[in-house]
Amino acid sequence: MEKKLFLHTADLHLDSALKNLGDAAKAAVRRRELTDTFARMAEYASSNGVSGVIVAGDMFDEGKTSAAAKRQAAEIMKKNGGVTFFLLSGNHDKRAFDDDFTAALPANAMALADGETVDFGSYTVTGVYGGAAVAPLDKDKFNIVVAHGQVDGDIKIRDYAGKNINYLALGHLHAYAKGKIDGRGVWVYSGCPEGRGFDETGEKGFVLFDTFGGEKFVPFCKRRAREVSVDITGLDNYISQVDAARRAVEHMPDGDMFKIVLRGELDEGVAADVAAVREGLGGRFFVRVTDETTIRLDEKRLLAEKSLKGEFFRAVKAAALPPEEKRVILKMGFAALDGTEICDD
Amino acid sequence: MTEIKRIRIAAFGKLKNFDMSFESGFNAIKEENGFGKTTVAAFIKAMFFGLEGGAKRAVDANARKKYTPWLADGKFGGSLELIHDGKTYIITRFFGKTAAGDIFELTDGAGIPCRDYGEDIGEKLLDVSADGFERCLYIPQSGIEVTGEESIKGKLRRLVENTEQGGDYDAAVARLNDYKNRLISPGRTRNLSVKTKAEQELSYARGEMTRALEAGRQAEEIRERIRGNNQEKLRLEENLARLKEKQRQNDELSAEERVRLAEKEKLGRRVEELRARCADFEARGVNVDDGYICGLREKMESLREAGRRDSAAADAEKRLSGLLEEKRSLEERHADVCDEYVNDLVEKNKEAVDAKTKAEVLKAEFDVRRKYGEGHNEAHRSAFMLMALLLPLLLLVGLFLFWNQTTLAVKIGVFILAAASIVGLIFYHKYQKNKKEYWLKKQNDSDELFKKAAVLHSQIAESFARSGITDGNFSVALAELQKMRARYRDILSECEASRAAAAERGCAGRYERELRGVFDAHGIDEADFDKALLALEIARANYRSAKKELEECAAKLAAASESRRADDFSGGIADIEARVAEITRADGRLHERLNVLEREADGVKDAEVTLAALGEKISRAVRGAELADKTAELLTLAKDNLANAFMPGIKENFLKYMSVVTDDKYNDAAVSDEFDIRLVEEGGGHDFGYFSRGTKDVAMFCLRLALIDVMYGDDLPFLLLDDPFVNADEGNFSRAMAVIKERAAKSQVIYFTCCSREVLNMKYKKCPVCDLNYISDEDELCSVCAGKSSSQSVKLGLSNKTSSSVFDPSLTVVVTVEKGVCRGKTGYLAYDEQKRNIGIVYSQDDPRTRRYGKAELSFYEEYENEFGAWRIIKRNGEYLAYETLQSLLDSRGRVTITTDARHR
Repeated sequence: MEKKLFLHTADLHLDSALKNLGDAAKAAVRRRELTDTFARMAEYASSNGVSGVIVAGDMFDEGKTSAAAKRQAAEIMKKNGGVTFFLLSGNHDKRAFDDDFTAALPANAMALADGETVDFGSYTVTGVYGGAAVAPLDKDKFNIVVAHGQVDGDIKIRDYAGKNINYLALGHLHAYAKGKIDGRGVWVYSGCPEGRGFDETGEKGFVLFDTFGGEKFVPFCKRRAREVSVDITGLDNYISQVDAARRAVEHMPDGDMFKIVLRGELDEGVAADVAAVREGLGGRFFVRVTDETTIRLDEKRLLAEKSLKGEFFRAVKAAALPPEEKRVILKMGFAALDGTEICDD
Repeated sequence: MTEIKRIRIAAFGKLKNFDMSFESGFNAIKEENGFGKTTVAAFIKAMFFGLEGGAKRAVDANARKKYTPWLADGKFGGSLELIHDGKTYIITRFFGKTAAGDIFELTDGAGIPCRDYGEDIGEKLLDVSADGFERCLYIPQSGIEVTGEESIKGKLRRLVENTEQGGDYDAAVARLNDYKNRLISPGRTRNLSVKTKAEQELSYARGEMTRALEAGRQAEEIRERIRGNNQEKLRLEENLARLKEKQRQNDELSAEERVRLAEKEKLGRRVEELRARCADFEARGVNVDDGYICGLREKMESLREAGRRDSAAADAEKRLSGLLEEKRSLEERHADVCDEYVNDLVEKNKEAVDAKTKAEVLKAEFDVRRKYGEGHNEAHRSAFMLMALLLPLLLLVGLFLFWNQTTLAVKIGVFILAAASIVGLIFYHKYQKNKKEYWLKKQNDSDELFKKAAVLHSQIAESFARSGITDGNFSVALAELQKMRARYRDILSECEASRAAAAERGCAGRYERELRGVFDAHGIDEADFDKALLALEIARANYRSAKKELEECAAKLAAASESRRADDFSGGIADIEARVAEITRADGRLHERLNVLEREADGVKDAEVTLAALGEKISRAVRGAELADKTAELLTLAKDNLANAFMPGIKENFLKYMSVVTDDKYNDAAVSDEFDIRLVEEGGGHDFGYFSRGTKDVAMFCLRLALIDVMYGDDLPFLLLDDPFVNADEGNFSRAMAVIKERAAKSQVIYFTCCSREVLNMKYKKCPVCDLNYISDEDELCSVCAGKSSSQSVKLGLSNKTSSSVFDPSLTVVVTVEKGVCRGKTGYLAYDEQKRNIGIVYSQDDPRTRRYGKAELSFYEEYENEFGAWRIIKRNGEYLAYETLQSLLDSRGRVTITTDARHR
């Protein structure tokens, strides 16, 4: 049997608003990059003898996908006519798979119907919606099932055991993960090919698998979202804080997206200079800086100190407030008493 | 504890090369007014804290300016020797014009540079700031009064809060409010708050979103229309395919049919061509009839005629001008008189001639009469009348003479005769008169007639003269007048004619424009109308020819079509293709519009991002404001707690001191949290302002002491007083001094005064050796001159001092050579009096602290509650160096040491 190669991806969320970036211009660039990555994956598939590209759901976002985005996706698929595209709708793009879109799909792309098995001779592809059951498949073929959902949530792996499934291509989780279905098959989350926010850090890409059982994750994203913790304990001026941040990211590509979290203890009267750190890391595509530093407090001294500051410290410590609020209130109160600038985090 | 031993002033204010030494306990410095006591106090403060200067221009507010040496050659500064926790330090400072020019040096007692403290030695040793020093450890004479930028009450409150000016509760809350306002205040008109600005941007972003959504909606409508068009196109294309199939089937006919088809196609094309041509001609309107052409020719003729008339009109205008001139001239000569006028002249002339004729006849008659009868008649008349008159008279006379001789008849006859003569005379006279009158009248008439004739002739001549005719002959003159009149009438006619002719001018332009418009409408732009008309005729001929050919071709085509009617799909195909093309064109336009709308609709995503970001910004601002409020609440709670913590003790101590100092006169008082004092006197509480200056001074002094007690307990470094009781009476003064004495037993007090009574009460005499320091009556020399060590005074200080630590200060431990580990440090085991191993003694290895290399005691966790976390090790009151401890342990095996619970 000839070895067939497949590219498994999911959760592209094309035309996503990317509200969490908080910057319309950057969000627009990133939206274009989501589509570019899909185009690059399609070109990769064409150039590397991939038989089929499986998109396991959430190709689009929120059902508010523009017609232009759908046309672009269709155009990309059409341009790579030598590859067959198998599309499954997910929880975010049910409405996007409307008649217009399916009618505009090129000949080499198909929207999988629920429970429909498409037979290509040596392999089959079955689309499943909502964790629905699958009838036993031909054991002599390489059977690919495509689903979108949460393992151990709406997708019960045990329901797919014994159904002669070789590869359960899953979408919904935005990180690569895999496990075994039974002695024959594996379930794999390809993760999303591009991180859209700082809750999607880490390497992103797609999964390449073949009918001989091979499977590997291929990093492919244009940019990674990175959350970098920078300890600025004792650094009492912005120059040293900026230097610390720079050192923390110097080995990382400038094109990535950075969330810099300033941590550590600073002396009273010293503030984390969020703006300076952000400016100091300029030249990178996206930088967000948050301040989670705490004041370096001599708790014992403050607990015993006979002063307004000491009394304030004791009052905050005794207050029934979440720890994070206490941290911010202490910073604000001390800054107010010291006459230094009160900054918000 | 800290004590000042000596000051050396190089130059500071008015003081130059000035030395002063101090002892432990009470130091009374009596000097005259103007000596510089306050300057000395300021110097001490300057040594500990440096000099502020800043931008304050007022001398009083600018200490640097105030104490710059009066003498220009003085080096501005000096040194201060002190003992702190048993160690001697010498602070040397020299000041420049600004802080950048200041010099600071710290040495130990041996003059070796020391790094135990930096320029903030004052804050570190005395545990107060420069401002706090003035509020706490230094009580000046004028400090009790309300001076400077804020009240003493505010300063005292900050002392309680242990904050700096600007760092107190009010300032902190103000900063929090300001921060909160920066975040969310809606009322700022300049520098909008974060929330307000974000809300404004939100409003704009919502507008953008609405526009983008509307564009999306319109785009969807257009897509719907495109879908409809696509369906229509699909249907049409299906039909087209069917027709074309049929057409294709028709194409499989015989060659003859194909030829016929080709011919038909050719005919069809020709027909189309001719149709287009005819349409063009028809659009140009060249299909005119002969009448139209004739009309045009007439118009052209009219144009030419008009041209001529134009020319004639121009001539007529010229001629008219001349005629008008001549007419005016004739009118001036009254050639415009009417026929009646002329008739009147003729009549006049005739009348004049008649009158003259008559007059001449009469004259002739008169002349004849006159010539022939008038004289004779005159003589006759006179004789006759005389006789007529005499006769009767004679008769009468005769009668009278002969009256009696006459008969009656004679008488009557004479009378009758006389009467008849008289009557006859009368009648004759009348006759002659009448006759004369008659001839006179005739003469008059003749004259009149002559006059009349002359007048008439004159009038006639005048009339003619008005017309410039001077010929005396009436006929000639009349003829000339008539001639003038005839000419005038001719001129009138000619003018009329010329005007009419001139009015014709411009007609040619009108015809020309009309013709131009006609030919332009026909698409003929020949300038020459003849050529244009010819072109129109040619075009008409061409149109007719094309029309004829079209009819022939159409007939042929129809004939050809008729024979193939059943198989013709071309029309349908063409229609469908035309419709498809139309739909395609419409789609093109729709797609263009759709692209624009989709681009606009893309703005939804940008607007979503912006809205989300702005929403987040607003949320953060609101959250920040809430946290600022909570912070302010907690600060308020802290302030209240602090007040509640300190105020009772302050009030209690204040009452205690007031009672002592005023000898129980004021043993009851109220002190508010804002340090407002009400003293009870004669059963009633009275506001502070009611009391005397002296009482106020005493009260504020007691309040200060009370506050210091609470803040420092007995761990007061030293106290500087600069004549604070200048307004107090003797009783209060003595009692206050007693209080000070009692305090001096525990810590150093330096008291400056210019009054001798203080000296009488306390130490009076100066040391006979240095003549500088004051000594008690019992002493012979001051401690400096006697060579007493600072350690002794430190020891004294220590023995009287009570720790402010919350833990048992009096801990003595035994250190052995055995080693152990505590809190990650290795050191010698330490045992308490109960022989418990309570911790280890280790070497302070942090070079940043002043205890670097000194021995410190670290307690195990289980003893932390009892003793604290760690303590300073002292031996004989001095920091114990770790090396020293090691040496002692090496030699003795165990060492007993004391510990200090203070961490500083």
